[in-house]
Amino acid sequence: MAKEESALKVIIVLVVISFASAFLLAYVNQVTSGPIEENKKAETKKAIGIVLNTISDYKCQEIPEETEIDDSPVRYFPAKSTDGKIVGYAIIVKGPNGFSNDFDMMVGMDSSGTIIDTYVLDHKETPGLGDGMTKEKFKKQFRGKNLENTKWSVKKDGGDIDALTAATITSRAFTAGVKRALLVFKKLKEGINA
Amino acid sequence: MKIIEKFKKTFFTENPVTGLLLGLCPTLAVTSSAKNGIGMGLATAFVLTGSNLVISMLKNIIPNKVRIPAFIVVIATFVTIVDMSLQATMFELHKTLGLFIPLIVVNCIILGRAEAFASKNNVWDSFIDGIANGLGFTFALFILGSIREILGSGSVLGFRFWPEEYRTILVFVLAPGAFLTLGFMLVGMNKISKLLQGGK
Amino acid sequence: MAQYALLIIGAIFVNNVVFTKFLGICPYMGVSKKLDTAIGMGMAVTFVLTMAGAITYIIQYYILVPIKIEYLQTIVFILVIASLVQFVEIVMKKVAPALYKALGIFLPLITTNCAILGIAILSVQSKFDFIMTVVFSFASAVGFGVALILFAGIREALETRDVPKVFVGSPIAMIIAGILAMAFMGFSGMVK
Repeated sequence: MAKEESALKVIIVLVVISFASAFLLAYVNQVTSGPIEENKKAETKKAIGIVLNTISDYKCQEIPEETEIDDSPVRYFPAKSTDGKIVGYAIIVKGPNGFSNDFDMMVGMDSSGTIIDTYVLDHKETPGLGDGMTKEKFKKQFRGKNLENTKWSVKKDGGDIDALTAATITSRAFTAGVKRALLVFKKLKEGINA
Repeated sequence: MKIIEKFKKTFFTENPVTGLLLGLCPTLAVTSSAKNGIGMGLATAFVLTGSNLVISMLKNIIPNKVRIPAFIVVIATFVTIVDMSLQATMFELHKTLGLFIPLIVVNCIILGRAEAFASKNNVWDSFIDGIANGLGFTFALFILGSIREILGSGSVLGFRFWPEEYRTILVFVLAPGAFLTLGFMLVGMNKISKLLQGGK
Repeated sequence: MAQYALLIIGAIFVNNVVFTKFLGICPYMGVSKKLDTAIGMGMAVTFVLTMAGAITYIIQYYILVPIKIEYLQTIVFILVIASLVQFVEIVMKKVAPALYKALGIFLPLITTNCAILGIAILSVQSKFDFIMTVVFSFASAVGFGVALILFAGIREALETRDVPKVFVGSPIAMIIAGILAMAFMGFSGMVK
């Protein structure tokens, strides 16, 4: 270690190291921000593909529209056919009060508000328990349901949804999220018809 | 061969996790699967090697009084680089490791090696020390992750031992399982270390 | 008001920072051998965590975001924490020298306590407002303290018991932590 430690030297060294670090990071940030955006968009696109998998011909814009439900932010992609008609929606809502916080989930539905499929975008639920909400066994019960033909809570709370074993909290959050998406659809439809 | 001796130490007798009990937070948190353990281990190894290298190069310039803040800035810079690079190239892994990538900065192994070794040794030795400890760390994470994954989900690195429907000992992928597995692993590693040392 | 109570109970019991989030384990293992050092460490961490939560919030939303340098978050946060710990060290040396001596090397090591950096980053990720950030940081620190004191109490009692030779020291500590973690899992039914 250096023997001379004047205050000036100390300050100069720290400032130089900080600047070097800042420049290096600004450079790496510039280089990586493009690919990172691409990755995020690719993931959203993949999710949309999954939740709208029964609709054969549609286009979604790259940037979602925004709205809100229950004081919670919502992003949605209207799916349009080649002649501009809306044939479905991919709606991103927050599943509220999950075991480890809210999580982002996407619900795909056709133009009548019937659910096609779901996709969880980002969650910190328990592996092996809560993350069962991403598995086929749990997901398939949601297909074909809409706001009117189902009671939207888990069976334990008097509803129609089969919760995951030992993951009631996650199941409730997921169900609430799906219900939110359906309410958003209703709100949008009423907005169009108004 | 000096390098083999070094690796024997960092993998077994002085393994940063099982021998020195450093870097426990990420060890317990990300080892619910072998793949996550390896990913975290290698990311940490990269930061460790890089910071050891730079700190060793700068050791005669950094004044003693501010060495800890200076080390931290160097380490944090490497961590941020790894964070951004992973998000750009391995998006899924980045999501899984999540919060624990920025937490590499406070992984006591890195600051520990900087203080104990890199600040006092030449560049080449510090570089090797970084790689050796980084790989030893990865090794420990891999073993812990594999045990937890096999017992908790019945597969490891995509290779299934038994079909998905069979019951597994779920607690091992959860928090308590991490502690318990590490506890038993420590017993095992201690035994191996004693053997390696006694057999010389 | 109810949401704060839920946040507090959640942070201390249901999502305990040590037993569920795996943060703060290094000092957890290192300082839990004696009960009084554990209590002192718990208090120091509570102070640093709460202050760190408040300061990092201000820096994040008033400096980092407006200038769009969020990628410097890790570096800036850790430097804030390091300075805070330095400050606590100086104050403690004057005000409570006995505790300062007892904590020894572990006081500067609070800087590397992943719980502090971890909770600061988590608060930003969860998009808490200022008051929720402070409440969350404080409650998480209390959870850390609770875990630490429980653990220290058990370890002190173990000193006078017969532990199988291969398990003495860190292995048995880990196994106890595992059992404690299982006990805390029981709390997960509490909120809702």
